[in-house]
Amino acid sequence: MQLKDYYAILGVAETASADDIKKAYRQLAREHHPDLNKGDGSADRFKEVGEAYEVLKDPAKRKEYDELRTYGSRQGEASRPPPGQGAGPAGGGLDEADLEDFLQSIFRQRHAGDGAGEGARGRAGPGAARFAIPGEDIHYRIGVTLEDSHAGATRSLSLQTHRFDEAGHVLPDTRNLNVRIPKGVVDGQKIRLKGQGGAGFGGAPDGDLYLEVELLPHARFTVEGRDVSLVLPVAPWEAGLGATVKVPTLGGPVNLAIKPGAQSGQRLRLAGRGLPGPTPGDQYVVLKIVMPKVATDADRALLEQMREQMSFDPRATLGV
Amino acid sequence: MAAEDDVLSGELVDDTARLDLDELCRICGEPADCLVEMVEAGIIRPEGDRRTVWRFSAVAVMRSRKALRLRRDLDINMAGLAVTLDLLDEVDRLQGELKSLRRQLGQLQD
Repeated sequence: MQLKDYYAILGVAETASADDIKKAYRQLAREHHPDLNKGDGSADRFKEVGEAYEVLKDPAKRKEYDELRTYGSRQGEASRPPPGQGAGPAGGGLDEADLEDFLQSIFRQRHAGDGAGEGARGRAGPGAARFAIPGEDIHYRIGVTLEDSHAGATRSLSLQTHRFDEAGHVLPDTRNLNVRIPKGVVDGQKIRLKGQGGAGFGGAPDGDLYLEVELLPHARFTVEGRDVSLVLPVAPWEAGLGATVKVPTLGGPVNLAIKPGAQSGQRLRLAGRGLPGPTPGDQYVVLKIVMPKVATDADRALLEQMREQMSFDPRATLGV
Repeated sequence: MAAEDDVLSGELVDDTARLDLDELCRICGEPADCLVEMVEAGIIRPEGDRRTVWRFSAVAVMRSRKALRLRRDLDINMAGLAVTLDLLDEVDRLQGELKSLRRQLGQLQD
């Protein structure tokens, strides 16, 4: 175990005032708070920043940390022993036990009142055995396909979590769960599985498992809430003359009537063809007029005929 | 495929109001005063017009926990929390819309 450089983590000098430390923490906490940032790694960075601040904001802890630091970095030359211990180990370095002791003394109080938190802080160690600690909630993102949301599905998950043995030691634990994905789940929605989170200790309840749904990108459909959209390619004559065309929906193909004179970008609504729910979503069809390839002389002749016979200026509104 | 009885069914965190104030306090690990303050600040909006008949949804649970974390870590006051949470919701909504529109635009340009 290595003693972390809390000053470097907060980006302040060792001589920084309590006020500077607070300012630096506030700034970094805003930048990396997992509730304000979705980016990967922000949770870890925030944890580190929080840990550093926890120590440096408290004059007594800061003093203890500074002493430990001096002692450790001088490789045993320090004139003072580390806090809470007798002489350091001969030949120096930082004694693992000192460090663990120190960290535990600092974070113990926190755990006692932190059960409902997100587990963003350290973990309850053996030193916490006197407390009843509710299990932490576990948050887990699951990718769900649009098809699975539309029809409902069952998913197998493998969760890395932890449990306590009788002495209060934390042991890693892998749990395999089969979870039903309810019909009509939307992006960002959470599924709560009561009591499936981290194990509680000392008779306290287990945490919950929250599965945050992330709808996976679909090759054809885009989704917003319960509404899905599809870009539908149509031929110029289908748009111009009107047509009935087959359109894919999550529930299978349907026929859609396109009125004569349709334009590219026009949005048509298929009511209730989106994701199911208390208020089922709709499917929007966005028309995209596609030009056919001019492959033969006959093709060319048709277009030339249009040019000669139709008085059409697509740029009439541009004033050029 | 697992046997049917091995499959866990979760509860969707949605807008259906189910919990009373005591239950919300227990889940959040906070005294009633704190949660009443949150209601007064508009951070969570229970159904029911009196404290004794208030009902909170699972979304309210998530919101109050998020508010408590932000208060603990960033020292934001109740009014600030209300603004922050509303803005975060708005950011979420706009990001969803942006994502969807970008993908649609991509398909139109293909």
